[in-house]
Amino acid sequence: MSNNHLLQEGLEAGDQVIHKINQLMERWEKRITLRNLRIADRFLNFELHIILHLRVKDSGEVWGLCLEKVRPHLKPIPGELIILPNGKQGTMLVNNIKLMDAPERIVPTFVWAERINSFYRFWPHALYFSSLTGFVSIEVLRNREHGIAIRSSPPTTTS
Amino acid sequence: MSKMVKCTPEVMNNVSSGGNGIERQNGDANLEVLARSTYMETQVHLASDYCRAFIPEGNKHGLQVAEVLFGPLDFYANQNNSIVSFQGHRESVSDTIT
Repeated sequence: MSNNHLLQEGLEAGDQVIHKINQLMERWEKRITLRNLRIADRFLNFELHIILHLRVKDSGEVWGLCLEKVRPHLKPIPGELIILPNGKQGTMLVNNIKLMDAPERIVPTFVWAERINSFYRFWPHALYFSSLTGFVSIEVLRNREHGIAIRSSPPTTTS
Repeated sequence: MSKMVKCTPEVMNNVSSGGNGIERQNGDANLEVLARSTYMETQVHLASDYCRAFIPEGNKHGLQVAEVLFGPLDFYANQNNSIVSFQGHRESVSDTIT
């Protein structure tokens, strides 16, 4: 292998490192902050998803609901509930999200729901913003909701 | 019944809390019907500085929005990962993250 070839490879590797650093700096400058939320834009760019906690009024049961913009490489079945092999509810394509900034429009969205005590199994260190508690990690949510599920279970009788 | 997250801390702090006293009764609603109803009846409005979720009053299963969250906010989260597709395969990877 010639010295010129090695030099060329070294330069290309250097360019790639600089490119990665530039990308990192750009991400840092555009990171989400309270002064730079751009929630709708970030949702459209797959940077954010929305999580809802829904309570069934009669039973008190709490469900987690996750909404994420449809990704081009995933093919949902419109209007059909996908049942996963483990019998739990899977994803569904809905038109539940409306962008309120002009021009207003509906965004096709993937959504899945599950009981809250088994909902939080992803990205244990991911940080979210909650309407109730402010900044909160998935780990805290998981422990909190698991506690709620335990507390809300029917009381057991002891003899 | 709706919850909303807005950009300013004051507004965030004013979002009412509640619903901590959950009582569970015996018997579950039909899961698939409930899930489908949950999917179809929930509406979310997104703008640059707020996220609002609501379910029409008097919906079939008496669903209420208890909490709204958005994220992930951490800088190192891989934004290219789909959380929905992740859920589809989570059984096979759950051991590695728990």
